[in-house]
Amino acid sequence: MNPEVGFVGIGILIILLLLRVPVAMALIAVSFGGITALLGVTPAFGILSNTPYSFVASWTMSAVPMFLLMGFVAFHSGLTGGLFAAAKVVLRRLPGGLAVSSIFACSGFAAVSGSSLACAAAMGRIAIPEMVAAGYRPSIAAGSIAAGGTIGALIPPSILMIIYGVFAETSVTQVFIGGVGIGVITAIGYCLVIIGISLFRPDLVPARDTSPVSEEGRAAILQVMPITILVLLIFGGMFSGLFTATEAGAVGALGTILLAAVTGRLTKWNITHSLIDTVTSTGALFIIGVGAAMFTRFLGISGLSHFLSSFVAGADLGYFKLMLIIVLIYLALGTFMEPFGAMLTTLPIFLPILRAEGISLVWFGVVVVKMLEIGMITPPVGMNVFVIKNVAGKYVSIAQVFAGVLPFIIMDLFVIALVIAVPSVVMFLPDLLK
Amino acid sequence: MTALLRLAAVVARILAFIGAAGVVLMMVHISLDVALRNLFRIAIPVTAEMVARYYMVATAFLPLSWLELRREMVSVELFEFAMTRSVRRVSDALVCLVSAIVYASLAWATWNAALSNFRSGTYVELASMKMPVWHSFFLPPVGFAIAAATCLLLTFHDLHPAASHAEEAS
Repeated sequence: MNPEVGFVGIGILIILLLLRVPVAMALIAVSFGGITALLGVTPAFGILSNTPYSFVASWTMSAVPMFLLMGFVAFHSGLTGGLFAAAKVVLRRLPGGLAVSSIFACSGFAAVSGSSLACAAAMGRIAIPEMVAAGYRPSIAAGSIAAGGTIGALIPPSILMIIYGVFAETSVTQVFIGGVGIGVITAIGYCLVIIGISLFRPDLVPARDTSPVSEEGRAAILQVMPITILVLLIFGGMFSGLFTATEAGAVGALGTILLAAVTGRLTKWNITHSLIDTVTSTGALFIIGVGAAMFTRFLGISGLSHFLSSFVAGADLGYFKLMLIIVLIYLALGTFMEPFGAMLTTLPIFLPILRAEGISLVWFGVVVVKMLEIGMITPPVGMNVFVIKNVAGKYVSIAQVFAGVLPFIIMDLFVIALVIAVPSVVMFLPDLLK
Repeated sequence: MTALLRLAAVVARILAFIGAAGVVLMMVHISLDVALRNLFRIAIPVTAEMVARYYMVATAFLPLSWLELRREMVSVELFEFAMTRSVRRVSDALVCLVSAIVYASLAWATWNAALSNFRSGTYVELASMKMPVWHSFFLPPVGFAIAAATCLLLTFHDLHPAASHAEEAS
């Protein structure tokens, strides 16, 4: 036991990351060096030889490539293309109706896709040009979608939640069910922001739309019907126990491909690009996972995990102070780190503390994903903002998108405060369906 | 140099293709298992082991060299904006060198693990049979070794882009 080595390891890790060494390589190098310093080269070599295989050869983890594939197929084949038009039919008469519709469309897309980038890209391409044409201030239009995209990782399926579940050794299905709660609360919060803006700053948002439902709108509802039914069947099957969360990914991916084929949207290009995106994301993610698994071992061996949990227990911080510290750390990391890297480098430190404090790991999984998603829209590195700039660059500048997401970030902080003050707003569904 | 890099690109594409095949097989195999179990109460006993030990391992490790060539690895780009082109190039080369060393160590370590599993003929005990799985331990060292070679080539390429371009032109 030598916690100092653990601290030095964390320091070197941060330096390597700032020097642009890929997150996975930095984690593996620091862990190997650290374990060698603590136990010698043979045990370090043993961990290096076992961890990659034992981390990846996991049945539960297979949900990651499967849900990724499902989302990419739905996106590339345009099965989700009618979501925005369909939401508009119902919601366009609300104040800020188009923006509210875009939040609903993001939530719908979130039920097919497990990543917020895909969600922001898909919706940004469709909704931002239309909102700007209707008279929305471009920053508000882009901000709504950049923020709305984060719902993609909250409402299940969620790649972040699957990986969290495996690392925290907690039920992925339970974290998914908790994700429904936080996703819905976030969506409601964002809609309130938009309605608030249109009431108090009518110069930013056009007047209400009172036109009757067009033929196009009716067609859009029909267009998204098949994928809606498919998603309901998959999640129904999963939550009712017909198949597990892991199997749901494969069934969902196959179902989506069949649906695309039946509706005449499956082309060679679509399926090739879906597979390329799936393999790219899976490979990049899993090698970080391998690094994080090694880092967990290193921190455990150094005694740092134990040192920190007894320090926190001894300091008698209490629930609120502890959570405040954790929230601040994630908000800071989120400003420059990509969520998987931020989550996997910090979980080895936080999980032992949370276990010792008796905090529900299902609940924490939901909270941690929400905090990481705030990082997707905060400057200077806000991946969702960059994606929006990429798909709607001719309407907005990066600075305008960051300005546009600001009210949504404030709402996010309220949501985090709510979930910490009243954990049952997230936990009542998982507790109910246990 | 460029010819070697081109060869690496071909190998990387083949490995990535096998990784993609792993994704498709995983999807079909799991879906078939779910369908047979729910419709006919027939279980495929090897599904979980096949998925975990073959499809997953192939999908995760074989495409690594391809990811490196496409520069798709996740890193923290906090100071990127402050870098001049030449600083950026040197930084890219150093990063590739670090990655090459890490991959080479991983390849060496997992190769030894694969050999020891091969010698002991590692298998999994299922309800009705013994399923040999030692083959799958050879997938990680293959992926890591090719990724190490690719990163090494990229290091040289980043340090001497002019040489590579000249060669390409000739």
